[in-house]
Amino acid sequence: MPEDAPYAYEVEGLYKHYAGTPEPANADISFRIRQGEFFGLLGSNGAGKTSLVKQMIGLVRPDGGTVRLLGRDVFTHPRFTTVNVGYMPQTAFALNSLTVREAVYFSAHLRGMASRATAKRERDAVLELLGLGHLAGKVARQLSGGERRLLQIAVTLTASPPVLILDEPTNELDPSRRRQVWQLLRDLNQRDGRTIILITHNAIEAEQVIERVGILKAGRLVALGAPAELKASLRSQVHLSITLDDTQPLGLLPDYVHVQSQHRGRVVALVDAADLPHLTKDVNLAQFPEFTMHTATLEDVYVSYA
Amino acid sequence: MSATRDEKLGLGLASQVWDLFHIQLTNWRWSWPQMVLTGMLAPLVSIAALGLFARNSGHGATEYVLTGSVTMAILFETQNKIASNFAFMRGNGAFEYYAALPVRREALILATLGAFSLLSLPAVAVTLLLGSALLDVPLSFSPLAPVALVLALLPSAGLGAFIGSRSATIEQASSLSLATTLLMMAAGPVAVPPELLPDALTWIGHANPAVYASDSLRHSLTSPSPTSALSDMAVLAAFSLAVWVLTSTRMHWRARYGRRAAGQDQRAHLTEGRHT
Repeated sequence: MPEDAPYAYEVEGLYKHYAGTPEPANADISFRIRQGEFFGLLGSNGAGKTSLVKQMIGLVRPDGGTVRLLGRDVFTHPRFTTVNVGYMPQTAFALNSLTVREAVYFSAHLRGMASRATAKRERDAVLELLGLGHLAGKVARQLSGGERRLLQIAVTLTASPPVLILDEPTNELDPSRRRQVWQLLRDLNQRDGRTIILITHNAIEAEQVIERVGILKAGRLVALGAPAELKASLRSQVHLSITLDDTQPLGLLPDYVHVQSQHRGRVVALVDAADLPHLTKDVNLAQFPEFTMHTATLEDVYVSYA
Repeated sequence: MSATRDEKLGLGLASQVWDLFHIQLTNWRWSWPQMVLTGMLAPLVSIAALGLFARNSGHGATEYVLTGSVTMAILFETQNKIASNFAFMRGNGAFEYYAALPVRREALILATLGAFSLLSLPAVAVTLLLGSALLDVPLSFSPLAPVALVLALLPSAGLGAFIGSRSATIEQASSLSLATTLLMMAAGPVAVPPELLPDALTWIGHANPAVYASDSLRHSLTSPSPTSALSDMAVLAAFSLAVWVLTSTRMHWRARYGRRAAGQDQRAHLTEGRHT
């Protein structure tokens, strides 16, 4: 993504407080996403991600602030927003009684592929892209959870909207399908220049594709930046994972190893980077059945803010 | 970068309605026979029960029972089922799905009303034909009958859409709609002639679209009277319009700003244009 690319989204001072709730769903949220960027939105349940996204696509009106998509206010240009954003919610698939073929066709047509022949061509291309061709005649509700998720992605991709907002796209997918989806999203971003906004809990997988991330906590944007920048803030700590055998007590580990969790001999701990040289001197690490060490991941960043 | 799409892209209202109408019909492709059967049950029970008493009250009373039962079939098949369907769509994310597409809420309402009105026709026809035979009421179709039928369907279909789109759950929509159906059947001369009802109920019936639906069907199907049928149809058209305005403005859809906000946004654009 070129650094001087125009903005896909400009969110300024967004505030939303639902009646009857003690805390605002979103408070003072401001950020910008450039066209062609792969942006991740992380946050625990109830952090305000869905509320934010619904305002970004104009489904929910904010109590304060503005949202601009490709330079236009989403609330005063609803049609422009719907034509330019493909949104995949995390909720159940709305077209469950249609066959895969019908669901993709109607979505393509309703998204503005005016001629039925064009919509049919688009349907066939998208089914091919997602490897759903063999399921074309099957009713959506009869699909497995993972197949239905792929169908939701297919429906979202129809008519090639330049901005995609995907809420947990790899939920319920098996590992090979997950890889397929990440590769597809990478291609759509890099080859076609699509702006992709990914809402996910799966920070480890997301880290492989996103360029920048925003972390929400209690309705506020608590971190924003490239994964490497955010990880740098935790770089002073090293993560250890050690498996102890039955004869090895936890006391083998020096005091400066801060144990985070322990279950059936498997210990997860943090060590200050400065103490690392001491650790290799004080403990014979080769005595443990398993020992791994790594610097902070995006998931560690996410957990540190959660 | 992927190209921005022109907001003029997207289907016209008629094409949106046609697609959504297809989707609604497709949803019922396997279960419509059960839907027809359940829609006929209450009206046929009403014909059997009220018919026993109406026979002793003369031909006019049996006509009321017949057209009242057809009105009941309409209420069950359109109002109740549309209310449940809208509540279901709201609950399963279909509203959100459609609202995130370049689709107008009016298209979804029209398509749903159209599909359920079409699906109600078998139950209405069977109730009419079977009721006519059971009650010995001859049918004499007037050219106004199809229009009367459509206008009889519209207010209850619209009311169902309003109840369903505003209800929090499908259970709430079903019970609210059923209560409304029963009230509409009881409040006024729908299936019982006015002379057999207390004056208060007959008076209340002036505000009940089911009374005009039953009347317009009677005036176009059993005792043709074009003038009376037309005046009933005019009232039904007014009810339809009122319910349409209520539903299309009150249904949850995309967030919208008023003209003032839109004007401010336009001014902001112009200012930006000058700066660049």
